[in-house]
Amino acid sequence: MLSDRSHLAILGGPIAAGVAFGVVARESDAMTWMIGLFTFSAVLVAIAQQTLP
Amino acid sequence: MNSDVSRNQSKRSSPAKLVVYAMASTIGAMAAGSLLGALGMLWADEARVAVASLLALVAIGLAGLGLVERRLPLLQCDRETPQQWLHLGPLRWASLNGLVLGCGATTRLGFALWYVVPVTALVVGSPGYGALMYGAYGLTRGIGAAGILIAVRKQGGLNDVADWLFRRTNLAHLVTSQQLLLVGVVTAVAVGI
Repeated sequence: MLSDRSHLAILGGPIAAGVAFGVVARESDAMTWMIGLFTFSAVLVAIAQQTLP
Repeated sequence: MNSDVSRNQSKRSSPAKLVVYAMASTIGAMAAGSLLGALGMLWADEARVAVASLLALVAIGLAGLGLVERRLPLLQCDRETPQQWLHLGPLRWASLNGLVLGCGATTRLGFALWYVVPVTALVVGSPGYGALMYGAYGLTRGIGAAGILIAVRKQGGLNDVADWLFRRTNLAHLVTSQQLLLVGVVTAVAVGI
């Protein structure tokens, strides 16, 4: 079981990174940034699925 | 056991079968992605932004629950590809299996992050971008399966490789939930929620 501080870090990390990424994307060519992020997500979930029974 | 099945299983990791599998997985995924992208083109920009905003909030909620170990059951078929395809021979089996697993929708999804793949292909509203994103998924899934079979051959046993992978399922849940949260927050900020 994770401690409250671990949960905070696990939740806070992606939120902080997401806000920073989102601001940068909005201020520049948002579509290119978003396509990159979505493509990376697609690769990541395909790798994760290899761990399924 | 049927002779086709034995022949299929005896050459389980033949290079031709692995290449066909990876290609079929990529092609199936690209076809699904371009179809969804073409469907998305039919929507008005405002509708796509509204759907993206709503789904960003859903993604944040799902990811948050996953990260505090309160995962909701996923909407998924949760099944293997049909066993009778083994009777079709190695290359036909590899083609059909690759096409279906590359698309992924009718198989075991396992992770809420999977929904990002078809949803973004639809919401982005471009057949080219849809094929790119979904194709990346299919290619990785195809190469991943090939990598596992090669590892099985080198390590000498399916059980060892399978155990190594299963021991990392919780890590995969953590990483994919964090990525889903990131995607949700980025989308929410980018569309200006």
